[in-house]
Amino acid sequence: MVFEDQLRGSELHGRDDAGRDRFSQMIGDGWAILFSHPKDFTPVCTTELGYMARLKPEFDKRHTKIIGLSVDPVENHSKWALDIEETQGHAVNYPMIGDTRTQGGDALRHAARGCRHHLQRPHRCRQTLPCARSSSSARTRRSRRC
Amino acid sequence: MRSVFVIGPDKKIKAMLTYPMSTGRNFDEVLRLLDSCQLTAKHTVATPVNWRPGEDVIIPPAVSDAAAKEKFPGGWKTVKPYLRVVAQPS
Repeated sequence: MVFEDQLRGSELHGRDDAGRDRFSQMIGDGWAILFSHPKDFTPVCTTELGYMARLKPEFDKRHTKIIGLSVDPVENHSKWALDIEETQGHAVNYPMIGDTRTQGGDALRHAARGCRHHLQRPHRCRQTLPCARSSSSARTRRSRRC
Repeated sequence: MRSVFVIGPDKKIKAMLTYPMSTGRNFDEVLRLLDSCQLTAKHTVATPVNWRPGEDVIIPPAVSDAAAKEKFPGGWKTVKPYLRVVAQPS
């Protein structure tokens, strides 16, 4: 799946330190990690986002952008970011997309759908998977006959 | 949904993780996953269980011994015909 195409029209809003607000502009031509959270001001996500802020220098070394995503508006993200810094000791230092229009993320649905067709598999799977499927389906056929 | 997508420079998804609401993710693992994705995008290798950067990697079965000789002139260890281990390329 080509993310840029799938996300077009989804009105994903976020901000990064360069003021870019489109997903495709944020990720540019390099690697990216997109991670979603269910809702702002939730406990588990507060710990996750704080830890991700701590790890950001490691992703920078790998020339990889990190971008958060939730259904809450960007204004909420900013308020929540203060809590994250206060409780986790690390300020959010990456963009967080507020996908308010689709309420749950066209991005995620598109990603899940696209992944079935385009997730790149290691070469070894191309050889071994068909064999596994054959034996599995053979067993199924045998069990049905029984 | 608590998901993670690793997206390559070609804007294609290379990996996807989904966790339940009640379980926080392990972002150290995401970093390890990214290291593997970036390495295997650059070199024709695969990474074994619990691989960490710098450790030996695997030559995929799709690479013949003849082709492997060109790619890995320093040699490799054949554990089984389908399991060939080589030092991580730089």
